[in-house]
Parts: sequence; C-alpha cells; structure tokens
Amino acid sequence: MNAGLPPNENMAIKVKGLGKKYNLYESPKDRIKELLNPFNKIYHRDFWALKDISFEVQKGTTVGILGRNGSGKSTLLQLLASILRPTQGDVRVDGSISALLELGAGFNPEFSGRNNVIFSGLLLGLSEDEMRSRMPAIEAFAQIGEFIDQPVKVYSSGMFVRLAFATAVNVDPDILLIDEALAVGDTKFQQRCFDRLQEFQETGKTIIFVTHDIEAVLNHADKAMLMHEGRLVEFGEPIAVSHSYREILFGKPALSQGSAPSLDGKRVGDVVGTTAGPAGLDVPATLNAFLAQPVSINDLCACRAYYNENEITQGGGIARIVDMFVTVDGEPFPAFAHGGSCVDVYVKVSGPVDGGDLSFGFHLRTLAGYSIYGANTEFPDGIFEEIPVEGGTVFKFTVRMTLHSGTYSIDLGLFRDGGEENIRLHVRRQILLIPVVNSGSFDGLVDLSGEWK
Amino acid sequence: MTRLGDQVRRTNPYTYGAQLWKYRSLILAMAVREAQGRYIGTFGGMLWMIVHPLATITIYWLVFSVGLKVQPSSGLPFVIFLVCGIVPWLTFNETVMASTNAVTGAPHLVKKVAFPTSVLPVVHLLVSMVSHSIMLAILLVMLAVNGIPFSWAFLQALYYLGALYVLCLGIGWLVASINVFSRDVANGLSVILSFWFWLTPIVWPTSMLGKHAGWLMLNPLYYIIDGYRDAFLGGASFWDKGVEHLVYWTICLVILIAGGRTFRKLQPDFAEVL
Repeated sequence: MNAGLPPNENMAIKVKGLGKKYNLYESPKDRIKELLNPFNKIYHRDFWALKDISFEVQKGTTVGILGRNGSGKSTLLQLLASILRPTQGDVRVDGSISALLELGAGFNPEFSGRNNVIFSGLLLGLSEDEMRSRMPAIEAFAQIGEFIDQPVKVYSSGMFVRLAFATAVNVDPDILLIDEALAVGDTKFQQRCFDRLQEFQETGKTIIFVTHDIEAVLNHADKAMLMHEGRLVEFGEPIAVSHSYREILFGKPALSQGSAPSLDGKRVGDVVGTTAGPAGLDVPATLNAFLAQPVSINDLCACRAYYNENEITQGGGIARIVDMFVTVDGEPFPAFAHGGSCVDVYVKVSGPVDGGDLSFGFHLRTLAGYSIYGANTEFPDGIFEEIPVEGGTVFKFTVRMTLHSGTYSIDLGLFRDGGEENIRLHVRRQILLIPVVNSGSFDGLVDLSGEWK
Repeated sequence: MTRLGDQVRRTNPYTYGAQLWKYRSLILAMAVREAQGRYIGTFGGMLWMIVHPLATITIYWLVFSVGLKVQPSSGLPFVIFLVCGIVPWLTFNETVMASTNAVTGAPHLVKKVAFPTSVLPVVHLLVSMVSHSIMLAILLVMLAVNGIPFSWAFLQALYYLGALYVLCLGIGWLVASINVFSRDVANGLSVILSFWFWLTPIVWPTSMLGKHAGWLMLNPLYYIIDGYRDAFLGGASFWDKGVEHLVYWTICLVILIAGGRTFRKLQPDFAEVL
C-alpha cells in the first residue's frame, strides 16, 4: 500500500486518478496482434471513456450517480466491480462487493428459480450452504410463491425481476453496486427495494447506484455524483448535483442557479437579465426581463429549462406561442417543484389578440398523456391573467402541484372562436415538462389531503 | 483496503489453483447445467451420450476391421485395440472443442458478473467426464466379452486420464482466451484436430512406423493412448516407462503454463471485447 493515502477505517471505496481508455481497433484481429506483439507495436486509436476520477465514499453512505447516456456511469460501475481493468489510477475497496449490473445475469431460463438463485450465489463467491440458508429470506422478499420451483422461462417479467433483485440484495455484500436495476418493477416493489436498501444502509453497508431518475437520488441518496463526458463533474449534496444534472440534460442553464457556472464556462443569470441563447438569441433570464422584452420573432421556448424537445406542434401562423417562463413559489425554473408548491406559468403569445376572439388554454397531463387538469380563457371563472407586452400578450396561470412525485407535462394552445368549433391557431402539446418531488405519503396521483377527524 | 486487480496481477500457479478450488462448487454447478442443457428437450436424453460414441466406434470398426482387414500386432481383436485408443481421443477432442467457446459462449456472465472467468474452461473438463465414463463402461463390457478379466492394472488408466485433463486444461485456457479476440481459432482448431487424429496411432498400429516409431513420443496424445492400451491390454506397466513420462510432462507443463499465462493476460479485456 502506498500512494500517500492515509489509512482511514471509515472509507469503503477510494478511487484515485481513475481512467479508462478503450482502444478502438479497425478489426478484432488487430487487438490480438497488438497484445501478442513482442515489439509492442500499436494498432489502435485511443478513446477515454473515463478520465481523472477521484473520490472517496464513506462506509454506510448511499451514493446516486447521475449522468446522461454515454457519460461513463456504467463504465465506472464496471471498474468498481472489477469487471473492467482500469487504464490509470486505482480503486481500493474495503469489504466484499456485489454488483447488480444486470438483473438475473446468471439465470438460465430452463432451470428452476431455486436452482438459479443458488447458482447466482455461487457466481458471487458464496457457498451452496450459505445460499440454502438464505433461501427463505429470498423467497419471502420475491413473493413469487410456489413458482420458485418452476423453470424461470414460465415467469412473468415482474416475477423474474423480483427474484433476481431478491437474490442480489440477500447475498449480503458490504458494498452493493446497482446499475439502473431499480427502474423496473411496479411502484410497490420499487418501494420495497428502497426499503431494503434503507436497511442495508442502517447496518453500515455502502450502496452505489446509477440512475437517470433525479427523484430516486433526491429521495434515497446521501450524496450524488454527476458524470459528464467521462469526467466527474460534481460530487456532493443531492440537491445541488440534481440542479447541475438538469443543466446538462437541457443543454442550457437552469436559471435559478445564478452563481453556478454553466458547463461551457459562461455564467448565467447575470445582472443584465439576459443570456445568450443558441444562435445569439436574447433569452431573458429573470421574470422582469421576460415581461419587459417585446415579442420576439424567434421561438425562445426551446431555450427554456423545462422545454420538452419531443413536443408535438400544430399550426403556428398568425398567432404563435413564442416564449414561456415558469416560477415555482417565485423561483424561476428550479430543479423540481415540491409537492404542494405554486407553479406560475407565463406564456408569451405573438400576433393580433385584439377583438377578443383569440383564446388560450392549457392542459396538465401525466407523461402517459392522462389528463389531470386543464382550463382555457373561455371558461366563465377566469384563472388567466393577461399582461400586454409589445407585439403580443403574456398569459399567466397558476396551478398548485398537489401531485405525486414524477414528471408532468403541460400542453399549451391558442384558439380562435370559430362558432361551433374552435380553430386551432397554435397548439404545442407536452411543451413543458415539470418534475415534481412530493415527500408526502399517499398512494395515487393527486394528494386529496385526506384527514382523520 | 484492498486494491482491485491485485488478485489478478499477483497470481502465480499456486494462487491460480487455489482460486479454482475456491470456486469448485460453481464449477460443478456449471458443469451440471451444461450437461443437462445439452440434452434438455430431447426425447433420448442421456441415451444420446451412449449412442454417439457407439456410432463412432462402429464406423471405425466397420472400415478398418471388416473393410480393410487391419490386424493389430498383439493378436487381439482389432475392435478392442481401436476402442482403447479412441476413448481418450474422443474425450480430448470434445474437451478442446468445447473449451474454445467456453468464454465466448458466456458473454452475459463475463460482462455482467465479477467472477474468475478462468473457471469456464475447467467446466468442460468436468462435462466430458460424463461421456468418458459411459465410453469406459462400453469398453469394460467389450473387454469382458472378449475374455479379458478385470485386473488392477486397469486403474493405470485413471492416471492417464488425469494426465490428459492437465493437457486439455492447458490447451483449453489457450484456445478459450484467444478465441475471444479471433474466432478463427475455432475453425483452425478443427482442422488441426483432424490432422492430429491421423498422426496419432488410434486406428493404425504403431508397428506401421517401423524404426521411426520413436518420434511418436513427441505427440502427447500417443503417450495417453498408449497408456490406455497398456492399462487395459496388459502392455508395459507405468513403472516400465521413464523417458516417456519425462517427455510428456515437459510438453504438458509447457502448454499448461503457456495456456494459463495467456488466459491471465487476456482475461481483463474479455468484458471489453465480447
């Protein structure tokens, strides 16, 4: 042992200067030629999947790793599991590791669940007796009843996942590595998985999990790690890291983080109140600047943090939706909206709004498209405020997010009263995506504030 | 704290062996799965394990004994002579061919589970024991039918079987690891094995070579096959040989170490390439 690392008994994992280079070969043959070449001739090009990763994880900590596809998350996990060999640096661990990189990796569909569970244990280095003694706990967790003695090929996918997860968490490692395995299964089972991970944590075990799900990190991780283009960008409090992740996800600044540098080095949310968007557009970064700016001929919606690039648009001629601004309890575009918070949506519309024959509406939906709430300016009880701006109008509406944790979408639409039927002038379905994190305990979609009297 | 990868970097033949021993129940479980998997879904089941070697033996017997009327020097029926030689050969052939795909056939494990992949070729040694036992049983029946009584000398065959497995393991590690990077190995190997079969006195008697028979010592399979014949047909005993042992074990250990080292060197890259 060297490298100047002071001994510290509380550390579960120490990673220092870790790098993983992939050699890209023209053909697989070049690889073997190079490996066996006595003169060390080079046949490849370099590609660094990970570079300069250093961090330490204390025992009993749960770490969530966030990052886009291809950011190096899974490579990092494979290195920690010693499935891949690091090119640079080293990984030191204290304790046994169980890696859940793929649920049921060792399962053979022809054999029974019981047989597969024991086999998986053997793969992880346990003895058959140890696995047999853990069998009752695994059966209880998986809850698949007598299917345990049926071949795995007759299982439903849910049963397969439950059994595989039950096996993995019951081999009792000191360090558990999980790669997006928790994204499967129904909500109730996911909850039980997290409960089980909680127990793990309480006994001083260390968990590292990779996910795309900001919510899971905020709810279950003590620390979060953000990977971007093979580098460790941030390692710290989950809230702070989730803000940065959002910046990376949308490829543009989250406007609430006035002091946080964006990834391309520009500071955002400065005193001028505008920041250069793509193609040199002036994108107002504060609500006042947004309201003061005349209607732009460009579409600024795509520069907004909650913009969904997979929106579905229709129309867009004489009257158009050109920009939008969202505040949650007064804060512009936060990483997520807490359950019960007030979401103010400002939508800037161009074109002639005079004469009163133009109407505006919105629809709040689940990601699956299920309608939760909607309204338009034709309804008798108006919830919309109309703020005139140069060249158009800003429509403002407010909704209270008494919803379960998850991501919700909002459709926006402009219509003209066409007698029997409204004519759609500009409809942008699912243009906004709003992440909600609700710490309240209830089942279902909406918190109806049930109480006991 | 332990540094990951040190276990691989620091392996020597002893720790390599210790690791295989530690994972013995995994090896056994994998072998059982492999053997069951091969015949799962067939009506004949284990019956095929008897039919295959019987068919091979019958074909060679028809060609050489009935067709070409080859007579072995010892005066025993040719078929006995043939079976003694072909039993270890078929085991060798089966093990080496199966080892070639030992790693490439299990990408889901190699890429997703942290376990010593060096156990994979060993699994196929165990699997081949099933068919080998069946073939030995056939051989024992044939010996009894031909009036050769059981002798303690038969047990020498177990030593030669052990020696054969050491050779198979060395070749297995070598071909299994190289095959990950170049699938040509599997094809090339079947060509080599065809030549090897005819260069080994399995269907022809050693006496055909006359004074050049000494060169056969360099063929490790000859040592094994000759050993089987000596054990069952009352030839030279284990203690009568000297140079033969030395030559075989030299060749065998060179191959074993080369195979083990190659596998160890290539092993960390398996997950990347598969």
